[in-house]
Amino acid sequence: MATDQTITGTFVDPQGNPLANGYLVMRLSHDGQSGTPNQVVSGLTQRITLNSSGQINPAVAIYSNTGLLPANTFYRVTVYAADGTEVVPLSQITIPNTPTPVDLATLTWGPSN
Amino acid sequence: MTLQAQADQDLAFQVVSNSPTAKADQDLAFQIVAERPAAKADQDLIVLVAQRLVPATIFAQADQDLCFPVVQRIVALVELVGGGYQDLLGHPLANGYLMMNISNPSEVYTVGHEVVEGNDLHFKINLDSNGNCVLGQYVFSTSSLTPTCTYTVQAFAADGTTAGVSQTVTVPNTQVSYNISNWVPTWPAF
Repeated sequence: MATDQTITGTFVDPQGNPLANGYLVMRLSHDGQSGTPNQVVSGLTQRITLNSSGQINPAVAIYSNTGLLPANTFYRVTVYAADGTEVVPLSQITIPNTPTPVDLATLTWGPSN
Repeated sequence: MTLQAQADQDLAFQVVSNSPTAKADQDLAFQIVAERPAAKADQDLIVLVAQRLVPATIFAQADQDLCFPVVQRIVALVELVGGGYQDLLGHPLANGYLMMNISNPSEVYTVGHEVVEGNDLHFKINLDSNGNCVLGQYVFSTSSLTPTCTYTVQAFAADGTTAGVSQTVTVPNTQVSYNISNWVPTWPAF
């Protein structure tokens, strides 16, 4: 494993309650080459589970977009409640390689194409 | 095309040791074993291989095993190594595979010698538990073919799930092995 970043974050529902045991579904936008170098594929989605407090805990290792070629890759992310209800619709975020770890709440979440 | 006696024997042993499974493989193995490799057997062997290369569809592992030792005498082949295929969390694409197609839908020649002819030449490259190429897998180097061509390559998980986007790549004639970790993907999105 040669990931270069870890992600954290706390998620709440529209009422402000922790998104207990919810989850994120993430996919890389494009295939990439890491600095190691490794080939990082974009066709496989990954599910990241939140704990009972709605947190990504422990932090999850991941490839930053900054560390991948070609430039300008991003992640497509959807956030779900524990029962599968979509809480945050498909969005795109760019994960930098610094600071480490990075709190997803500090990133810009934009609509995804 | 001249095949040497020692090389013929090496080839014969290699084919037989590959445990031929396809009917064509068995025919080929029996033919070689029946007579000691000689000029006639060489010619028959070339014809059989050529028949399987036109139209050029090298897909089964048995086909690859059979064709590589023969073609290796004619055109530069390069062993693919490395890759380090992983998902976004760094999990290896364990026991997945790559499908490589020569891009040019035309005849493929070495300089002065016809090699293969057809529209659809495939290579399947198996990955190990770390997402790296299993050793001993060869492809034509793109720089040694005329006209110069490229490959399209796409990664698949062990269960056949499409794992990556079809990318355009080259395989330089390095005379040794080529580390495909050096490929920089192009832009198409999944």
